Amino acid sequence: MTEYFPILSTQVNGSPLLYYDNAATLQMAAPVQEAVAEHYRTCNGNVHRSSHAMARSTEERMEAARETVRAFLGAEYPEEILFTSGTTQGINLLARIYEDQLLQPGDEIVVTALEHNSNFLPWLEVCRRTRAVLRVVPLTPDGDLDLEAYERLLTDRTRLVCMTWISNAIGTVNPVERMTALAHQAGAKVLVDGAQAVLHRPVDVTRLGCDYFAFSGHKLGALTGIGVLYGRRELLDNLRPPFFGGGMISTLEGLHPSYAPLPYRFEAGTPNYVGAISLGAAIDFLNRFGIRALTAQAETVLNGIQSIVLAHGGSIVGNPQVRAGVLSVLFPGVHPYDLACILDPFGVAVRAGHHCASYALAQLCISETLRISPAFYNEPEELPQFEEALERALHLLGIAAS
Amino acid sequence: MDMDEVQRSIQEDLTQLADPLSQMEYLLACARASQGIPPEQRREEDLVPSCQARTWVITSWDGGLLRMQADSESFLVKGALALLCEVYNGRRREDIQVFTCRLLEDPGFTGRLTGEQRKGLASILERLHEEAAQ
Repeated sequence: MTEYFPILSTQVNGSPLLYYDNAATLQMAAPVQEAVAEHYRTCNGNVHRSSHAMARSTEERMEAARETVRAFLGAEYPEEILFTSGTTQGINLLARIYEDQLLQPGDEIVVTALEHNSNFLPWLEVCRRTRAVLRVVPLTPDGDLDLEAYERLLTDRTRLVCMTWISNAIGTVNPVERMTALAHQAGAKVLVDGAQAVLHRPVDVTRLGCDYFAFSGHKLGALTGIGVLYGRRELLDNLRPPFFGGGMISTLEGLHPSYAPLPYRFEAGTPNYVGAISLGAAIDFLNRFGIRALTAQAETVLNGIQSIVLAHGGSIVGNPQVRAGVLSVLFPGVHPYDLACILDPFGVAVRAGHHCASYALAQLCISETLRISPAFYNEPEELPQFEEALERALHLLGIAAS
Repeated sequence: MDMDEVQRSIQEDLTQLADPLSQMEYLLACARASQGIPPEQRREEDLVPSCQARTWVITSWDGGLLRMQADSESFLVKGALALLCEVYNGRRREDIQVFTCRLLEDPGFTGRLTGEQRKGLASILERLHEEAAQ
């Protein structure tokens, strides 16, 4: 796999890079880089505007990428795939729609305590502006969602349930299919934040049953600045666009616009077409191996890291029934920032902090963790280097603490 | 030594420690040697805002001289604070007012710290100079 990722051969301070921050961003495979470079070498033109060969070719590639994403998500129609700048923008787009068009005072929105700020703050703000009520599904002490509490939160005023599939902070895998079914029984729609899940679970939005699904391309190794908001066609058809600009109207007669069909009415302005092309290429690359196989490889390394952490006195934050993608760890008497800083010159790239999920960590009475998130291109053969780096870092910090 | 001389001495130490690990070991050693602030004396109002690791700075003026105590949950930050204390502790207001701290520009001093931590240290320096100007 390293042949596809030359960056993984980088040395940091003389040590081989161990890139364990894939929950933050996935490295870009060489074929995806080549797809971007090839685009700019051979055919670059703005889309949905001009009719010359460059523009037509770019448009074909972008729409082909849309179809690739449709198949990847198991969506029924390509017009259900809205290109955004990322998970955050996709969720904010939906939040703006709900604010403007779908919420009344006293309506309720349910989010979970595991949410990344991108799927927590928009709804907090929407409820403040509309006088809707935000309900938060609490956690169990193990870091799972309290599903009994979730069921009790669903009422006939619940308009939307927003849930993350896999927590970026502690790796909890939520039973989104079951939670979606319960939400629908209550008459609510469902948004799934799939930012972490897309690399660790095969996605089928039709089987999940969710109404909306958001993710970011760079989590799959595409360019940053591209993402997707999936929405069921029958829902999107009845929504007005929240943002306006070029490329999203059919006609403008005087002061009377007629908005473009799906998906374009929700893609105002020049889309990130190169980002979309990179996303299509990234999905094509991952499809060569299959998400299940890639996940299995990452889980092997994750389990090895967990064993090493525990053997050196660390603890794993949360003990959910199902975990994927990330480990949040703590070592007694050691601040996660210090450990992350000291691991860096040994080549180990990890993240420390609240991971934009401070609400989740606070529910577990924690403020920061060290987050380790290997991916499919990491290998068990790296584990001895990781263990040695951890030992030396802890030794240095142990001296400082004495 | 005056403030400039202390600062130069620190910068020379850090320059001699060319690799990142040695620089961090230096900061950690400074943290170990620092008296810090006993836990029972750490107050919420002494927390430095927007520091990622909880960091406390207590300042007072005794006979026109600055008394500064600092501590942090992060040993690297505590080490950096110990060095700042070495520069600023016991100094007169007029000395602080004319002094330019260049340590935050020194990669050996802040290269291992995050952007947020550097901002936190910058806010501490700003506060010291504001107090000195009062």
